[in-house]
Amino acid sequence: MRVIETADLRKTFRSFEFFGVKRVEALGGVNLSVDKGEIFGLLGPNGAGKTTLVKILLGICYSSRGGAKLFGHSVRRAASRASVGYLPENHKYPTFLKGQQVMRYYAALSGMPLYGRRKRIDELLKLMRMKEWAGTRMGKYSKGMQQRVGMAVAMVADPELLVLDEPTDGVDPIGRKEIRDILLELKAQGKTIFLNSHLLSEVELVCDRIAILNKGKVVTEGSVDALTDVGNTFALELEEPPPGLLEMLQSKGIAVRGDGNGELLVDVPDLAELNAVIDYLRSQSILIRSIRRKRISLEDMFIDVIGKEGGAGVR
Amino acid sequence: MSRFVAIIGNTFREGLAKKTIVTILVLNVIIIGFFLLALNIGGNALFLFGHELSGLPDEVLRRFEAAVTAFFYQVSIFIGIFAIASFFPTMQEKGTVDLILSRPMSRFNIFTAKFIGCMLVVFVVMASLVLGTWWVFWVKTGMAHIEYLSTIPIFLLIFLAFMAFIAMVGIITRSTTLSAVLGIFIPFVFSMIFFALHESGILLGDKFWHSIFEFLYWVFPKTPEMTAMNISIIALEPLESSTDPALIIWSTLGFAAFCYAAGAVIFQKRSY
Repeated sequence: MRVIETADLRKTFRSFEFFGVKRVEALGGVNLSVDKGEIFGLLGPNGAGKTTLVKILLGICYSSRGGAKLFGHSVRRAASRASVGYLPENHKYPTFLKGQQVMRYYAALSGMPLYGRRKRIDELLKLMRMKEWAGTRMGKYSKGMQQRVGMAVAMVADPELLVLDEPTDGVDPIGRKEIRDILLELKAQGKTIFLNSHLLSEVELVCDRIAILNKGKVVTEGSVDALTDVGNTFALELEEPPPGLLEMLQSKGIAVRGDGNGELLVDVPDLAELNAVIDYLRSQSILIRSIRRKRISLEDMFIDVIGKEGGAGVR
Repeated sequence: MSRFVAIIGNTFREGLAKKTIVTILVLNVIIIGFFLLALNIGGNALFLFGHELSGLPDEVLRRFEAAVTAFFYQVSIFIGIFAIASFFPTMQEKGTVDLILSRPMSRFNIFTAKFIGCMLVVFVVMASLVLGTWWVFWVKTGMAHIEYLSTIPIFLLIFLAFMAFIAMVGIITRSTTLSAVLGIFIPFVFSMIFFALHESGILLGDKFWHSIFEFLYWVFPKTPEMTAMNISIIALEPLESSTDPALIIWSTLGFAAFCYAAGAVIFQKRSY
């Protein structure tokens, strides 16, 4: 089931200046789809149009052309947001309300029935380690504490889709780990998560699929595994490799190179060839500590893609 | 419905969190306390701080109530505008508007609920003062003039026009300062100017300007006429205005309806 779907989504901002109207194209025809139960990461440099896309999906901003649907309903209809929880990047919760009151207010706005609301709020405050601060006004919370309550607010009505913009912003490392675990738990429950984050290492840890947005266009999209895969290259960590091993393997026609960290990188056409390399090493009494498929990090892939596209920003 | 009530409730709470409104409520208590201490009845006369007020107690009290009402109008509208002016601009601040618009609720309902919440704040502030003073007058003089309570609906009708204008300006400009300043100058000051020009008839000789100002007179809310209407109800005197009371009410409601609709439509169409 498609939870999010966009078709040729375009947004042009107009600003009136002394010498006429200035047009900035924030989105230039975005086509995306997110299925139920996925954790989808939206990446992109500053000004790529990520926030504009999220705002259009949630009815905060209107598209200039094209369309978008949530759960099959046009995003222009309030009903499309019936089961959506949202954590914006620079959120401003009412500072005069206490943490618990904020939760109650947004639970009511989400249409959550009164019955069971208190229990759910207590559970979420406990989950986000904010129970003891529930009676303190939001104005006195630190950035990290506000973020925790924001996460709890987003989850309060038990939505089917969570849209999270920089959810770990200002949260300490333990809190980040906890949020990551919560996201994975929600995924296990069949919830869909749309994640907008600059922390590529975190995205890599939790997302099933990602899309990179640059200059208002999707420049690449796919599963994290597929995008970070570099082919049949394996990294072999050896216990005390003998001097001249690299040259010896190369002389046998094996495509091998060092990675500069003491590991051997072997390019093989298939697993049989890899096993032949392993057999050879073992026949030379070389101990193998580990073998793993080589991948590039999401960060390297991101830099590579954005670099090829010629930098960041809107046009 | 619960979403609607939640916004109304939160707006009311936001109002109570503002120092301006808390100050007004404290001032209300001081004013009520002042009358409680100052006003007395003895024999066939009313006394203010022990000084006898000339005339029959019933007439004196009605004149007294009318004077208090006139004072309320001048002060309350000013303070009320300042207290309420920030509500719509604050709602549209980055980070706040995102949280509210992302809920499964139409923008028209959000606007309406916010509007009702603001009116509720004004009602509580106004009703507490009028009911408080009415109760004091009753307790201290034994005379309960039900006409004095007409101040509440008439004041609310006036404030409805002001609130609709402030909401419209707040939605357009997203500025508290502009909402307050324009809220005072346009419906409050201008309606007084147009009223004076209409009543005095000094532009009758110039047809062009006369028709322009007559048009504006009918467009703007009838604050001075409504105040006069209220005073005449309390004092049991005929209304001293050349305009039909029904037209006064309908044209004020028309101004409110136009501003309200304009504010709602702009809010509906805007990208945040």
